[in-house]
Amino acid sequence: MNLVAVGLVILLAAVVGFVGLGVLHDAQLRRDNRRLEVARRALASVLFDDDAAAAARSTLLRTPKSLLLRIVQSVAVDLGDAAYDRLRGIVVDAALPARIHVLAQSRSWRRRVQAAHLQNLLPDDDPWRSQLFEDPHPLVRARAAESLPCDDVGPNADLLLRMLDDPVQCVRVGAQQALLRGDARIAEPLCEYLWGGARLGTSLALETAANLPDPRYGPVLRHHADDPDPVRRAMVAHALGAGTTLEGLPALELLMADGDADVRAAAACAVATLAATELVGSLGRLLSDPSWSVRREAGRALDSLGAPGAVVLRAHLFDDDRYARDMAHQILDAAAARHRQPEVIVPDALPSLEDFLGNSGA
Amino acid sequence: MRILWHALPVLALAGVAGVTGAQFVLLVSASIELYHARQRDRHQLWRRVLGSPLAPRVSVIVPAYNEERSIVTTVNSLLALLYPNLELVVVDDGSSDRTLEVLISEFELSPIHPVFRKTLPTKPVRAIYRSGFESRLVVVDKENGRKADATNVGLNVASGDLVCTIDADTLISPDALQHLVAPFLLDDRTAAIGGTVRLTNDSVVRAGRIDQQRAPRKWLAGVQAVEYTRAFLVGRVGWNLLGGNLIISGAFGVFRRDALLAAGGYEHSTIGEDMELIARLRRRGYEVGAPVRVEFSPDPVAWTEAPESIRSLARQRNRWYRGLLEVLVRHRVMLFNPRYGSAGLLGLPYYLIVEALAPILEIIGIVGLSIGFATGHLGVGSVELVAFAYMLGAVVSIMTLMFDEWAYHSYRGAFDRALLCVYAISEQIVYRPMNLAWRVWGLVSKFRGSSEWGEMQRSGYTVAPPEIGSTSSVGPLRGR
Repeated sequence: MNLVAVGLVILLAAVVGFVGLGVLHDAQLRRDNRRLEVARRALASVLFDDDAAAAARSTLLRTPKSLLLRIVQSVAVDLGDAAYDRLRGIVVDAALPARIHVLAQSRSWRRRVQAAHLQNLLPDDDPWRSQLFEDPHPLVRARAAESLPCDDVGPNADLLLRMLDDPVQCVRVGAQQALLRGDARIAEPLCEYLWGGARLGTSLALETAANLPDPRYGPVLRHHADDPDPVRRAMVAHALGAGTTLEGLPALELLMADGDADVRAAAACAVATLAATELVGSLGRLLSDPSWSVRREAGRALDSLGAPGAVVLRAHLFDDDRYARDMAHQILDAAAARHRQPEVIVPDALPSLEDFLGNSGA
Repeated sequence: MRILWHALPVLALAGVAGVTGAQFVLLVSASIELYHARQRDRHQLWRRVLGSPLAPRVSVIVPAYNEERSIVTTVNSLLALLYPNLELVVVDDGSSDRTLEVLISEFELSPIHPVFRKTLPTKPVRAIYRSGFESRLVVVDKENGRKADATNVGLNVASGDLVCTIDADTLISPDALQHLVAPFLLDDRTAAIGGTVRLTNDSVVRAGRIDQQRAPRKWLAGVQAVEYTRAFLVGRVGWNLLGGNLIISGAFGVFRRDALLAAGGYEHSTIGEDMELIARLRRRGYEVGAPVRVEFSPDPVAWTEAPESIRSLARQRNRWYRGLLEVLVRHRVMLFNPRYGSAGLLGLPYYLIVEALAPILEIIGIVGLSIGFATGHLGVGSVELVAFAYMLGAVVSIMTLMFDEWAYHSYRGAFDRALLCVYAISEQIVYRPMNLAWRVWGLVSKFRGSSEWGEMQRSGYTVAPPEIGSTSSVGPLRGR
């Protein structure tokens, strides 16, 4: 057989392989999508519809385990108490814990990642519920932290705070995401962590505090206001701004005079968040700051303070400093543009939960 | 003389086999990467982390020049991205059409006083606009200065830690930024991530998103669809494992902003600015003792329109080839130099040998082979050998399509797939010689000192009306 004939045979095999694989793939997807659709509806009924729960449960238990794992994985971990307990019940009845154990013990980290997401659905006394937090692969640790349901964040707060000091950034971020779901339950351990001095995860811990307003953070935030690291001072400014009291205003005023431009900008932002009209004068002075980002944040803050801020901005339109004039001009321009509101069209009806689950691919 | 005639098929074979052999190696490397990517996708990593408002801020920079037909679709598509911490900076590069007017009327733009930190030198900015109802949108109007200049203005104005550069005619998938931002969280050395770009020709666009990817019905766009799939899956993703990535397509890439500013932003004086930037980023990294990582995401996250006229395509390929030559000359110090790691030992030599020299060898060999065969100096065996190498080229393309099918299931139905096979085979017979000719033209233009950019006529996307709360299909409408 000559070379051209060999080439043609190889080429033909490749064409048949590609088209055949595609057709098989199409058929498999159609079949799986049908099954997934039925299983998704059944799961929605089990979780949220008491009347149809029994019938839906038997439908769900007949679903192939691999598809059931896929559906269970796609359910949000912060589902809510009762629904989450029902989901765990389904997992146990469908004998999925054994599958999760196999995934968790796999040598492939990609399978362990899957197990890390599912481990929270295991029974409370299952030893595999927490082992993957210590996994050697960072993505597994990150996924284990990220997948922790709200109710489990409080009891695991110390573990998550330790993970904030993990050398790999994605683990730190995963732990932070879990902490953010802990709300007020993590305030005490987080304060304790922050009182412990500067560590790798201190910035993320401060960022977490900034996003979970709680008066208990006040003293420790003021303690960190003179941290040598400007990133942390900026985070303190954000966190003080997110606070629920005005006790942090003196610290914020000091941060507005900080040597680092990012800290001053963050402090200006914080004043806006707190709506602290007491500091309009300091904000006005920041309009002449050598850093553009500080001037912009000060201008935005003044804009957000309403009438008192607008008065200061208009006064700075005639400032001797051309940068202050410029920024005041920009902010007032932007405000003028923003106040033209578009027409809002409200749909006649919102889709049902089942349609939403189907359409969103959950 | 006889030795010369026998050298010709060897020359042609060296050209074809060099390219095909390199593609086979990269195909193996790409298949490993694809396997990993598929696993990541299956486990929906990062969905929650990068759905949080605490995700790193990304400024999407869209340089636009005469894009009045597609700019609104692009901006709407970008504003509909699922990424929670987003800023969109559209830079109108002194368009001579109604690009700016269309943006002003569609997004109710009002001028804002133009003051910003000019870290990179650029052509003057005429005005900065903000939308009356979409606070994430900033539009910059500047004097014409090519795409690199427009992107540098965007870099100056942007406020994100990460910047995403895209072409104004690029559509991107809703979770594209999640895919591309994730590697920045995994490794601090990551400086740039490229996104895989596919073609929109004849695909259905609904509400600024690709609703159904179809094989293009026109031959020229069809062969480019196969070429793009192969180029991105094999030519870019394949380099991830080997560490030789040197191109992030201008159509879609995410960069660490501080790394770009430190490297001096995009270079004005080159026409291959995408590749030049990455070569400079990597070169600088090695020189300052902090090598950076440049990776490619295999997930198809961006779609662009391919030229459907031979004239536009020829000018585009001519420009790309001249750009490649410029980068090779400018960064020649990196070539085969161990100081520059895998970029110097693998990446740049690959571009020199396989992308720049092999086509020239191939065209000399093919012309000589044809003459030798016609004049009876060469026998059928030589022609068979070269034909076999071309067939293997088609096999590589079809295998790439197969990997794409396995990992992403991009196309539906036997007809589309059969059509792609026809394109993959005809690419080797018809399109490849055309491409070779354009490269030679590029080489000649380069020696003549041409720095012409060339324009592309766009036909617009195939769009379908937006749809809410139903999964029924609506027939595609042509044009817009």
